[in-house]
Parts: sequence; C-alpha cells; structure tokens
Amino acid sequence: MLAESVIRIGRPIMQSDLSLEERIRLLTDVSSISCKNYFQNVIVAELGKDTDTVHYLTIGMFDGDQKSFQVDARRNVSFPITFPNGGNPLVPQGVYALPCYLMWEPHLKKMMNAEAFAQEILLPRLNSTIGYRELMQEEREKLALRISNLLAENTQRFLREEKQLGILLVFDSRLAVYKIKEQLASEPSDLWIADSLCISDSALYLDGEEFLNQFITAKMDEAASLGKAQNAVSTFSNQVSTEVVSIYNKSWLWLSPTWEMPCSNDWGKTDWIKGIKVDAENYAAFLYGSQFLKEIQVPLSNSLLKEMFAPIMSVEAKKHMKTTSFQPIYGIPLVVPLLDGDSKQNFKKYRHMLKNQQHLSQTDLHMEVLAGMKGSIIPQFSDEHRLTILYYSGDLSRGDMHIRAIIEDIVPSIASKIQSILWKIKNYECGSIQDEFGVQRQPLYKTETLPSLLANAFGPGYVWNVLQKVFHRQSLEMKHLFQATEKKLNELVNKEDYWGMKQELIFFYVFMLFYKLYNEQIRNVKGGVKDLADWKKIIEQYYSGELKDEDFNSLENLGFISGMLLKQFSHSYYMKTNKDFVKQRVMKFGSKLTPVMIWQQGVLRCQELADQWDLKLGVNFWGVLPLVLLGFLSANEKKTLVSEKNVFMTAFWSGYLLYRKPKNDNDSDGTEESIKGGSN
Amino acid sequence: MKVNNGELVFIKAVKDGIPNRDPLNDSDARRLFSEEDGRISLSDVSIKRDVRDFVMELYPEGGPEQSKFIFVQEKKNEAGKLLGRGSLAQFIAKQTGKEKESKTNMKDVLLETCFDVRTFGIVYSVKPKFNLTGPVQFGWAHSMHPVDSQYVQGTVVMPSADTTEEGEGKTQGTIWTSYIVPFAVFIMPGVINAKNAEHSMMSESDQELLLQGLWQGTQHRQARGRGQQQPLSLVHVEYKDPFYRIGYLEDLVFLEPDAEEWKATGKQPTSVNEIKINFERLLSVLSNQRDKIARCRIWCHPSLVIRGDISQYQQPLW
Repeated sequence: MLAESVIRIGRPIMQSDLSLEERIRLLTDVSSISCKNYFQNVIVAELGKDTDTVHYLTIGMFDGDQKSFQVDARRNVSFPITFPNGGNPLVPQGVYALPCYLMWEPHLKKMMNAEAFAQEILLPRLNSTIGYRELMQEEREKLALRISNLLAENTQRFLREEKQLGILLVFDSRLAVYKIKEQLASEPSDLWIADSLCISDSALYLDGEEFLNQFITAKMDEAASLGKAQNAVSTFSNQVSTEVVSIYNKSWLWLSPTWEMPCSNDWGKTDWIKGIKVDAENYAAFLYGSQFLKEIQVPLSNSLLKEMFAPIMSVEAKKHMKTTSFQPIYGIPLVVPLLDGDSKQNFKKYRHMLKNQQHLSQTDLHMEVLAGMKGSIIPQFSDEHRLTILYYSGDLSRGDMHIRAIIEDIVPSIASKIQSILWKIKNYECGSIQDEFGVQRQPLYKTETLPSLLANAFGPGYVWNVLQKVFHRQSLEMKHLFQATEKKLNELVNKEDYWGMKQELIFFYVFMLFYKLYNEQIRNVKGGVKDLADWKKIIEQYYSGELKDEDFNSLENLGFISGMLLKQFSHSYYMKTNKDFVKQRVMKFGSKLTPVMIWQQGVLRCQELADQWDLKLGVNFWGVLPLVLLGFLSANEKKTLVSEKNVFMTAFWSGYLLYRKPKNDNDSDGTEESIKGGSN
Repeated sequence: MKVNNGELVFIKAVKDGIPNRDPLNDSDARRLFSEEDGRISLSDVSIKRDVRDFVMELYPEGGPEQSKFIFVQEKKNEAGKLLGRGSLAQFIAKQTGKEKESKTNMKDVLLETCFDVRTFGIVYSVKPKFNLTGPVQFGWAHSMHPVDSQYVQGTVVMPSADTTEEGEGKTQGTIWTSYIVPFAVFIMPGVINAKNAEHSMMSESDQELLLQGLWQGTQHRQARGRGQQQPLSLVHVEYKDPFYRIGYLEDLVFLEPDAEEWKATGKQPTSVNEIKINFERLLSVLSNQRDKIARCRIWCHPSLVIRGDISQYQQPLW
C-alpha cells in the first residue's frame, strides 16, 4: 500500500536527529518559492500585559536590482506558515498550530477597517487555531477586535498603495508556543522572532519543540475532519490506540476529500476512518513522509515527454509534434527498506536525496537516467531495500490525480547495472556507432535516458509496460523496433534523406547494443542479436571476398550483405549512367521497397546490367553475387522474405549505408563523394 | 416473464478509427497487453455508452410506459452547464410526474423510469445516497488479433479564426493528427445475473432492448475518430438455474486465421472478408450443457463467415 510506504519513509525522518529548523522547513512552507514575497511584509501584533504594539518586519532583503526578494533563511522558521493547497486561499483553511497567518492583498487592505477585519478575517482564523480553541466565543471575538484595532491604528506603517502580500503573527504570551526571555538568553529550541517592544531588554521567541507538537496536533485535527475514532485498532501499528484518524493530509492531496471514488457510497463525509485508521505516531510519520515526497517529486521535462509519447512510426509526425502537446507527468522515487532496520542509516540516505546533486557520485542512482526525473538522485542503497517509481499526472491541488504507473520492487543493484549500461552507451559506444555511419559525433538525447530509449523503440502505447519489464529483468520482444525502423527508413528513403536514415540506424544500433548488454549483464542470456560490432566482421569479409555459404544462413545476414552489394553496384552504375540504381531501377516511382523487389529487380539484374553497360566491378562483387542469389532462393523457399521483411529491410539499409569503397580499390566503380546523397 | 441468468458474447469490428481513445493521452490505442501480444482493448464503459445513446435516441420521451429513460447522460441546462446527478434525477422525475415521490424515494423513481438504472445499476451519490449493482456486467472487449495503430495527419482548410478587416488572423487551416486502426475485431463477454435482475426490477423487455441496443447502438455510433463500427455477432445464452453459468464463453470462440498465421504472412486483417469466426467449440459446449440451458440465441451479420452450424440458434437481425 502506498500509504504504508510513505509511513515507512517518514518514520526514520521523524526519528532522526534533524534539527528543529530543518523539521520546520520540511513540514511547513517557509522555504517554499511561492511564499517568499509574503516575507516582505511581516506584521507582528505583540499583545502585552498593559499595552499592545505592532512590529513591522521584512524578513530578507532585495537583490541589488530590487527585483528579486531573498528571504532570510535563518529567520523565516520563526514564522511557520502553510501555503494552502487548492481551494480559495482567502478563506481560512485547515487548522492552524499557532496564530501565524498568510495575508493577501484584500486582507491587508481590510486592516484599515478594524471591525470588518476582526469579523471577516481574523475571527474565523482564531477559531481554527489550536491555542485559542479552548477560549469562549466571546473571548475570541474580544481578542479579534483588540488585535484589529491595534492593526488599524498602525496601518500607515505598513500599508502601501501597490499590491502587497504579508504575514500576520499574533504574539500572545498566553500561548504555549511563545516565550518572552531576556535578550540572548535563548535555548536551542527557541527561535527568535523580534525584540519585545512592550518589555524592555526582552525578546520574543517561538518555542520550536512546542510548535512541532502543536503542528502535528493541528494536522491530526485536519485528518479527524474526515473521521476519527476512540480505542480502535490502527491499520498500521495493528494495535489499539486511544485515538485514530483518517489518513487525509491537507498539504498532500493524494486523498482529496473532493475525490469520493475510493470511498463506499454508504460513507458520510466523516466516515473515511472506516477505510484506513491511523494512530498518532504513524500519522506523524505519514506527515514527514508525504512532505518528503512532495519535496523530491519532479516533473518530467517536455522534451522527454515528447520522446516518450510522440509517434515512433513516422519521422515526419514526430518532428511536427510540439513539446507542449503533452500533459505534464510527475515522477517520485521511493526507497523502502524490506525490514525496518537501521533507521539512522535510512535517514542519512533520505537526507542525501533532499540535497539534490550536491555530491554526485557514480554509485548513486541518477533518476534522470533511469526514470527521466531531472536532478533526482538516490544514494546507493543495499539490496535490502526496494525502489518504487511512481508516475502521475493531473493537478494534485484540485484532487485531480491520475496514477500513470507504479513500478514497484526494483532491486537497487539491478537499477545500478542498468544505469552503468546506459552510461557506457552514452559516453563511449554512441560516438563510435556514429563514426561507423560517417556522422559527426554528437549527443543523442533519445538514447540518454531509459524511458526515452525504450519509448523510441517500442512506441508510446508500451512505455510503462516495457519500463516495468526492464526493471524486473524480463525478456524484451524486438518486433516493434524492427517494424518501426523499417517504416521510418522507407519514409526517409522516399525523400532521399540519407542523413535521416543514418540517424535512425544509429538509434537502432544503440538500442541493439543496450539490448545485448541488458541480456548479458542483467538477464545472463548470451547471443541472439547482432550489434554493429558483429557486422564489422561481415564487412571485412565482404571487402576481402571471403564470405562463405554459412554467412548467408540468416535472413538478417542476407539483407545486410545484399545492401552492401547493391551499394557497390550502384557506385559503378552511377559512374556510367549518372542515375541512382536503387531509386531508378529497384524502387520505381517511390514505392515501398520489399525484400522481393530487392531480389527480383535489384540483385537478379546486376549481371545483365553489368554486361549491358560494361560496368567495372571489383573482384569481390562477383564472388558475393552468386551466394546472395542462392541466399534469396533459400529464403524464398522458407517464406521468410515476407514474414521477416522488417528484419531484412533494416539489415539491408544498414549494409547499404555502411558500405565504403575500399581506398586501395582501383576499380572504376565511382567514388563515395560522387554518389548523389551517398555521403550527406 | 423474469430475466434468466445468462451470458453474452459480443463481437464487433472497427475500421479506420480507434473506438475507445485514451483520455489521458489521446495518443495510441489502449494497450492492456504487452508488446509481444499486441492486442488492443475497449472498456466496458464505452460499450455501455453505445447502448445508452441508442436507447435515448429510440425513446426520447422515455418510451410508451415512460420506463426507458436514461439516467447517465450528458445533459445541459439553459446556461449551458452540465447537469449533475441530482439535477438529472430531478429532471427525469419531473418528466414522469413523480416529483413528489422522488423527494422521499428517489431510488424507486429511478428504478421505475430508467432503463440503464435497472440494467447496469447505479451509484447515486446525492443524499440520500444509495447504490445498486446492475444485473448486466460487461467485461473489457479485447481485439482477437494483434493490432498496429497508425498515426495520420491531415489539414483542415478552414482557419481556426476569421481574418479581421485589418488583415490580421489566421491565413492557413489547421493540421489535425490522429491515430487510427485500419481494421480490428473485438470480442466482449457479458453476464446477466438473475438475482440482481430481481432486485433491480430488470424486465425481459429491458433485456431485449439491451440486446437490440448492443447491435444497433454499435451501428448507430458515428464519430470520425471512432471509425466505422459494425457488430458482427451476438450470442445470448440463458440458463434455467439462476446460479449456474458456463463461464468464459468468449474463450470458446476463435478467429481464423489466428494470430500466428497473420504473423507468419506479415499481414494483418483489413476487412471482414479476410476472417472467419469459429463457433465449433462453443457449439459443442452448448450441446453438452443442453440440460442447463433455457435458451440460446445467436445473431450474425450476413457478411461474416461462420465456422460451425449455428442455424438452430440463429435469429433475424433487428
């Protein structure tokens, strides 16, 4: 269950030696980028015994150009705010752990009218604040009016005409979360707010420890709004707890109250407790875990989404697809221990995950490479853990959630091996494959991450399915790759886009290499596919005329060799006729080239045309031609020319585009450069 | 007459379209099976939609007894906003003059007036909430052979906005893109639960309308992206025992040539003329289970070539 995984992730964080400030930062939104401008106008209403005063603070400073405001990261934890996640932000939402409220433009403007501000804005918030809920309603009303009057008197100090956002903190010494102490007499858990204006030589402090307790209580109260029960068995601890609540968490709306789908139709709004019951300790862990996941979730980049979901069977269609035409997808990596063991060790790792890219190392799992999540790092974990990758789309803040895929039970060492294969391909192999095709070395984006590599090979319909297979060491079927490659090559050859064909074949051979290494290193299966290195031997044998009968035993070999043969023939034909042999004689009117056409209109006619035009062909050509013709006869008997045409055609174009005229060949079969489109 | 426990097998074909697009992606056909399997699938929801739309067209006023209204429908109010569940129920109650009754017992009103509530069941999440499991449950429809979806592009000659007097605006038409399946045959199982039919008051006339709706509703569905849909065969087996069922009848029906043969030739079927449906195994099982079966009926499209003698079960088409 996802909730259980979240709790198991949250537990070590909750039990860790994380400092008070870091806890506040993790659980609240003080460091959220969307909250930074609120710290420009911090208003502290200090309620004293005899007099009340207002502090107007700016927690941070502007950059030199006055455009960007930088929040003071040491002081912002003293004003622990929570940014509303969905709903109308102007109305109070949830339960407040202390009277520290976000203020929007209309709120600040209303401060001029004390009565309206007290009734409409302050009182509803005070009603939902933990420390004030014990007070009588009249007392709260009186308090609201007292604060509002105080603010109204001081508006000239902080209200400006332009648009403002702010924070209102009510410092009421009766509340357990606040302390007044002598200046510089604080303890580690005391967070300085400001020097007191009511009591000389004293300062106002937030008791961090107490705040965290109240914060958890406030969140439990929010969860209780969808159901609570006394003396019931917690779903997670399996023990009776004095109080259990629903698993609703307002700041992480995976279980939104507006989404009724998982609930029984017979349940009322406050009956969610019938589904999952959470005790206080596990709820606190859930809170830490969900906040942690919120921190590490990453949107997949638009360019990656295009690689994953654009059509793969047509080059033109993919080219015309806009990167913005895909719905955003978010990814979250979860590392869950198989057994609840060393909590400290787990925490260290989680902490490392939060500090993205600070210490990149080869042993870490780079989730960008494995799962397309940019900047997401998972430190090396032992195989006593399991990795889960979660992809979702939609708008969490509106409870509009669509889980696209959950890939569970990934063994970290397997993920690490897959990562090594991908790195090896990116750093070493990709360039050498480009060299073979005579294409300039350059990064090949679609082969750099696992999702885009797999999606380009198998198509958008199978993205999640194949990703899951690879992480679980299952076999992959290559049919789709051959089919897609053949279709694209045919599309490109009709446009005489030989450069594009080479690009497609480069991807093909990069994938072949991945497939080979994946089988060898992860599945312990050897052989089965040919990568470019295997073809090099055949190319050498072709040039030297050493090909033998057994070299034609597979259709793939036959396709590759006939590709080389026709290219060699084309060179000589071009020199004599100034025409492209394959285009003019074999394909005819831009049709779809098939193995049978290559055989009957291409290879079978070589002898006749060579005689007719008195073509000078290398000695090796005449050695290979009969073997190729026999190969076609045999393939035709086995009917593989039709059933395996994708494999044949892919190999044919590979051979055709990999053929180079040997430098020491003195036969007059033309030069590479003189062949139209041959080297562009 | 009450409804018997029963099973359905529905076979339909689609040409040049994807009958059930993926609402999240709108990219490729829905793939529930792995890439080596290659089949595509349609949800039961899309087939229920076809039946509902057909019944709505057939009985816009709810039929002669005002009992064939459709509850799950897309209806807008005067302001152009879609009606919610509560408003839809109220609308139907108003149409049938049962407004007063609906205030205390909406469940009975909807059961009396709505064909789809009695047939497919209901989740009524407006207070007072109730739910009822429908006697008719369809499974997913899966293609009987591997299918490749194709990506196509075209242009619309009309620009998306008019050119203004100043000459501003779109001067070119827009490009449309779509995935299509050239041809695919789908098979879908369904069950009719006699006990649930008693609870939901589904009548025999509802059952007959359902069968007609499956056939004619499929033909009635016309939308470019969904392609041309054609029902090919419908099998309805009714049992004497309200708790008996043979089960998985769809696994007893086969496509010829089968997937392996298509793979060997490197082709895929492109029309009904290239396929046959083999009912021999199903017919043999039906014959063996004769004692348990109250009635079996089979409807077939004339262009479909059948293997097996279905003459004793064959019905005239609607």
